[in-house]
Amino acid sequence: MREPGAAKLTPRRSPGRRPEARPATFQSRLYWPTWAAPAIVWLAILFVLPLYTVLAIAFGTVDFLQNPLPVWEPWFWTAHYLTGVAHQIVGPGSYLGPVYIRTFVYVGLATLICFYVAYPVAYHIARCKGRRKKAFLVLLLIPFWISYLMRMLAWIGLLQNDGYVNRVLLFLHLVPHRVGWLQGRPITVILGLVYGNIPYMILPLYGFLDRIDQHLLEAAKDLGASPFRSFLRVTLPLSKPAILAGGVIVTLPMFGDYYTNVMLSGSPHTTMIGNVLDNAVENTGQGPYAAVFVLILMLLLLLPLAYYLRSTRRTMEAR
Amino acid sequence: MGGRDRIAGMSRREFMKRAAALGIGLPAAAAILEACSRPGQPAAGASPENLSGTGGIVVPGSPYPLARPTAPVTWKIYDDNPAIADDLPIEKDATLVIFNWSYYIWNKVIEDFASQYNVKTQYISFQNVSTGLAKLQTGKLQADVFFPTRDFVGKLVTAKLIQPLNHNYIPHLVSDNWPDFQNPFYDQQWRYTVPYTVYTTGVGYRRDVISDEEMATQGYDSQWNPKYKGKVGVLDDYREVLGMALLRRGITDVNTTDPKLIAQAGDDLAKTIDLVDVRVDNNAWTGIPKGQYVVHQDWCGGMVAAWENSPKQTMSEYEKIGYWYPKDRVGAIQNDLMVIPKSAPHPVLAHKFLDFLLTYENAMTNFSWNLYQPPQIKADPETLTTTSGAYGARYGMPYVPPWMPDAVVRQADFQAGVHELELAPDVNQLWQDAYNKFQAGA
Repeated sequence: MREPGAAKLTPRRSPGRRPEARPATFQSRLYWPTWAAPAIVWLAILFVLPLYTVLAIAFGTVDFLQNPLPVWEPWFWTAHYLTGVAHQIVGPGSYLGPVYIRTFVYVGLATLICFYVAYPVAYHIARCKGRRKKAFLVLLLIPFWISYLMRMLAWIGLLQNDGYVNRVLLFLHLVPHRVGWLQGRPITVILGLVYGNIPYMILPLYGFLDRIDQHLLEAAKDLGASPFRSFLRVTLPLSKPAILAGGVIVTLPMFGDYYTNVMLSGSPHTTMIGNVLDNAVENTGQGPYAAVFVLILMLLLLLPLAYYLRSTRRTMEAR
Repeated sequence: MGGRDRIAGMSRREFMKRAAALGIGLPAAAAILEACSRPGQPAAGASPENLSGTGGIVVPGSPYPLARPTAPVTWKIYDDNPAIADDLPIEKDATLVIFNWSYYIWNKVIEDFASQYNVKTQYISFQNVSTGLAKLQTGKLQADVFFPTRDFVGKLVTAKLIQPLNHNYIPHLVSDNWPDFQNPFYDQQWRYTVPYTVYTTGVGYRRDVISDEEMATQGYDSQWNPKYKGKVGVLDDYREVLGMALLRRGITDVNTTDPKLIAQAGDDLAKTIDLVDVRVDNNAWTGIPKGQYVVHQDWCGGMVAAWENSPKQTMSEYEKIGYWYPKDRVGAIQNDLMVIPKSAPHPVLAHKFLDFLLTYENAMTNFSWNLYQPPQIKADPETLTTTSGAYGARYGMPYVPPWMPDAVVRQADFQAGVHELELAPDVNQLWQDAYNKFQAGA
């Protein structure tokens, strides 16, 4: 029998801590895996088969129509296209190195801006109550109702020489003359990437910040920490998994993004990996090169993903 | 049995048996190995008689020759891919499937055809001819009419993806269209193709910034002129941009196989990156009227159509758009085609549709909206710049704006102009590399 008042004395369970393990029966061990099995098989097929097809194309050849001809037997694979791309990236006469560096810089800056903009927004929404919170969430989700293409098209209208952005900047005397935002400026591309992806940073941050136990903040306050210090020492460290998750979620699509660049720049000054890949896909006979670019991109994307997985595992272990 | 009788651990009898089996089995094994040989390898010993066409430039390992004006190609007609017979009735309850670029034919013309022949139509678009061809190749798309470019004819014929035409169903090609297309170099005797549109590649420009006279002086150099920095564009098409860089230097072989010339064209192009902040897109027809560009390489059809995108629908706004093409008419010229896929479910109706679009009235009705010119005999510069078609009449615009006579493609241009044509794969890769280098901003 539980003692009266025991619930009050029991320390509140921190988020993510597992309940005490109970011996699992055979039935309970199979219950969830059984439900999950079709989806896991489906995902595995949709991942493994396309990946193998990309490999078969990258190490394959083209037919006389110049269409990619996947070679399914690995013992017939050729590294012809892989070495071709390698020569384009490094070594004498290479030209794709700057594109890769540029992509990393653009994505890095865009992710940082996303974080600096998204964190206060998510924090604020998490601290709101009732209708206000719901209203903010709805406002946050509304952009998802409009396609990415339409949103970028809207930006083209806004950023034109005689568009509203220039008009406002001129009216406020923030710029001496109209700015050619769409004339191949890196800043336009970076801000485009930020705009297109920022909701994906806010949502995981909000989800996590909303679940932070207020008692921890109160404890910090009771122990004499200023609001800023309690944020630095409590809130920020606790939200590290969400920051990483948000970072990964926005970074992955940014690396492969080509549309933002095409729509808002079109200049060789701002070409990114996604544009190189798109060019290869669009042109006859370049299919295997496109497949090699896909594989390289996948390998690059594994880096942030691996870092995220490692960090989350360490966080879990620390608890 | 003595040790001498044993060969590598087996008896003589066993050895003889295995040797016999090997003798029998070797050919089979060779066949299996051949079946398992590396896919995509060209058939060994592809001799001229095995090619799908005669004439042209023979590329080692390729099953078809490359057509050039100086080396025309006559495509084979295969026994298992004959033309349809004469005097067949039109297929009943048919739905004609048109497989074309998006927005490349006026819906009214399709409706007129459907109403004349009492059939239904369906329009399916492709993003580029490569993907269109890939869809046809799968056999899942049963199109009746396909609109490829010239550089795909060899592939389409060799893969038997298109069928030969029965000329008796298409009398208007001869009566209404330029005679060149009765025997074009890329398809002698027009066995498989009929023309759809003809167009040149020049430079679109803002006439309120550059006068016509100034543009005539600058020509291609306008694309390298720092005066227009930030307002210069080129087509997102590796053949067109590199071809322009070659023509600017007076090199008219726009199918060159010389690696030095190709690299030089790429380097020239790369200079525009810092010199004029060049942008690469196919939006001249919207960008020039809106003032986003002062000069932009474009096809004549794009500039003829550009007035539709003017911010204000007034004649003074339309007059701000110009098109330059070399005065000696030695510039890039092309034509798009209409073909009938081999798997077309309604080949008779498809032939009728081709003939319908080659008829003067229908071709010009379509031109008034599409604004890419059909090679009609009666469509001379005088007619095109003074009379309006069904669509342009609504806006008081002739087929071609009168201040843009360079945009009219003349019959003689087909001889004088230079044709960007299919390249051998290894040469094509050189062109691709030069363009990729430019695109990478290197």
